[in-house]
Amino acid sequence: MKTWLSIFLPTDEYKRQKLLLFIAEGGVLLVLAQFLSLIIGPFESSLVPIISIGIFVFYVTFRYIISGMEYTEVATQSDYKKERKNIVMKSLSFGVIFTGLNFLVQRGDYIIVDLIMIGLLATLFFFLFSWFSLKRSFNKNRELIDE
Amino acid sequence: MKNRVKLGRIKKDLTQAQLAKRVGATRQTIGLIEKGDYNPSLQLCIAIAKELGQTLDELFWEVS
Repeated sequence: MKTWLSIFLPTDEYKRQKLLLFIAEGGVLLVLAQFLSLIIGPFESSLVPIISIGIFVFYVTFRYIISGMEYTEVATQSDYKKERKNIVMKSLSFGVIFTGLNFLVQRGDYIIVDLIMIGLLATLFFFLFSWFSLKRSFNKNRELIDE
Repeated sequence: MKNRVKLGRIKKDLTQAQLAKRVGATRQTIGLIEKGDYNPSLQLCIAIAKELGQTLDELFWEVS
């Protein structure tokens, strides 16, 4: 299947198909959200696109995470533990970069403690989402493994 | 779709991961195909058949 979206999609055909499905479902929800805002509005003009994009991003991410297809090779306890360590490291790196960028962008508008708290929360959520995705992938792969 | 991919793979003495790597898929996808939970594209069916040295009929034709 040729589409300009290909550059953003995985090469594995199962993952690719599933991801396209999630994006299509998210797109339909986005249209519905826009349509609903027309019917029950008017809202503040900047609120509608932000909420619609939020619904799309949250839906696609949530479906991807619960599908258990992010960590396709994690099927044994040792793989799982190894990947969990990687996730901790990735979360910490993300937290540091996020806090650093946030500090540069928001400089002057927030006090340092606020920026650190936001950074910690972002790190925690990043870890929780990744860990949940790993757990789902591990459970799914364990049922499929045959070696 | 039920199939004989698992049997063919075992005959060839390959692991799911090894077959996956050879056909450009993931281990999870091979597991799903073997379990009958995912219907692969014709392109992937042919790649698997070639790797396992069997015909599409032998691997994917109706299993009684």
